[in-house]
Amino acid sequence: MKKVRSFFRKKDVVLIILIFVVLIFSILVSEKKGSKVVVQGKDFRKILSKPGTYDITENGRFLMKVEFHGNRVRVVESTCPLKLCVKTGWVGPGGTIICVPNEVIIFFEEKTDYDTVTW
Amino acid sequence: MWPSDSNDHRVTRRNVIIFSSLLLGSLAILLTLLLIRTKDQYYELRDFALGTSVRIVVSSQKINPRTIAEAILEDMKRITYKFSFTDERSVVKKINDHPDEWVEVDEETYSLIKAACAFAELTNGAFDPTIGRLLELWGFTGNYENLRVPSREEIEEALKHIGYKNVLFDDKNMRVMVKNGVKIDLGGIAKGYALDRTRQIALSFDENATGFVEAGGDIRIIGPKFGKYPWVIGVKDPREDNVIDYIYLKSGAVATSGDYERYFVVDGVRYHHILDPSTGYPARGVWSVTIVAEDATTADALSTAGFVMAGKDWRKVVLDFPNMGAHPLIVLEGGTIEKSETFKLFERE
Repeated sequence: MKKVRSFFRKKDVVLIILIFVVLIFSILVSEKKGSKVVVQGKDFRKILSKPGTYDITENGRFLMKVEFHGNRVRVVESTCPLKLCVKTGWVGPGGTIICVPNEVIIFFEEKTDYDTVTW
Repeated sequence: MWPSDSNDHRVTRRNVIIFSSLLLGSLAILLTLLLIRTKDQYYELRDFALGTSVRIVVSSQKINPRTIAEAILEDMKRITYKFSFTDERSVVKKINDHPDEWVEVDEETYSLIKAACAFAELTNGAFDPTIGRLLELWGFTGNYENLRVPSREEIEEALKHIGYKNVLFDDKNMRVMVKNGVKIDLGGIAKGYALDRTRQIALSFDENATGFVEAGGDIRIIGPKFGKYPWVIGVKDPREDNVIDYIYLKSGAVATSGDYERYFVVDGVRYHHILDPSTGYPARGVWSVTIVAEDATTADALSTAGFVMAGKDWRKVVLDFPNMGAHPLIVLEGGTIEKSETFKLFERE
């Protein structure tokens, strides 16, 4: 019998579905990076990904001490006069800590269900 | 689904259908991914200006959004010193340093001071751009290094030198004069004005630019998200790290005045920066006032006025403000929320 040219095998479907699964999975994974906190100052940008307490300095000058707990972050101490950044307390994804005198912004990289907050 | 004879790989109708649907499916997914990619071109810039933090989120199909964002930031920094209370380059300082003298100013300054006085008139002085002396007395100027609770006598004395009617205008020559020892402070309106400028700047680069700009919790929309969706804005809980409401804006602006923004505590009493021009003390009875308006200048000035008024009579704010194009949400002391019927329109997507 003359062999008919293969057009489309079961294996092909399995392969295509597999590729789809891997693709979608990788997209989902890249969307959820996990909690990372950005500490941005005038001349620096520091990304905190591991829990712990960090000293934030700028050109060798101590500015503040930041405590990061994975899904919460706070300023423990700061050199600014009003200490509003310390008084802000714990902040989670979507929240921002601002220290105006030191010009430091602390925020989560993670996306929230809103774009911004009025305060 | 598959023929039991797995050697049957001929071009049958069924195989063609399966193949083409898979092909179309993958094409569709690829296209969607591509679309998401092209849409996701919001450039974000965070920095400090206007005495607070600034976040610029902008997108343009025409030019690099980074160029727009940097131009916006530069203009915000310009406005910061131009209308500062203390900066040597400030026009406001120049006027304050020359009391009882006509000071010639540029059109931008003239219009803004005039607008500030118009808002004072509109709110019966609940918003007053001449509380400079009071702010100085409390230490809510410059770097906030001299914060203190003044004595009653000091406050009485400062109150004598407050009142927007002491600002005189000469339209013909664009001149401004302060008399009776008042000092202009544009802190309650310059941020809103700067935010309105950001939209103008963005649109001057690309009339189809979209995005928003936030400065210290006040937000001006440049254009809808991806050109058609509203931006989702949370309203901050005045006491917790939380959001108490959501609003959806495709255009316009929103501003909040809260007692948690700038304050200090003495003997367990919180003294914040929103001073009541009639008493000379921080306005009481309210935690925050959020205003949605067509423009940020209105939202900014009226959120301050609303804060001063709401502690005494929140109903007046809820009923009167919508007529001025300002839609309020008030969080009273204790956490009770009051809002106008018109505000509720922004709570829907």
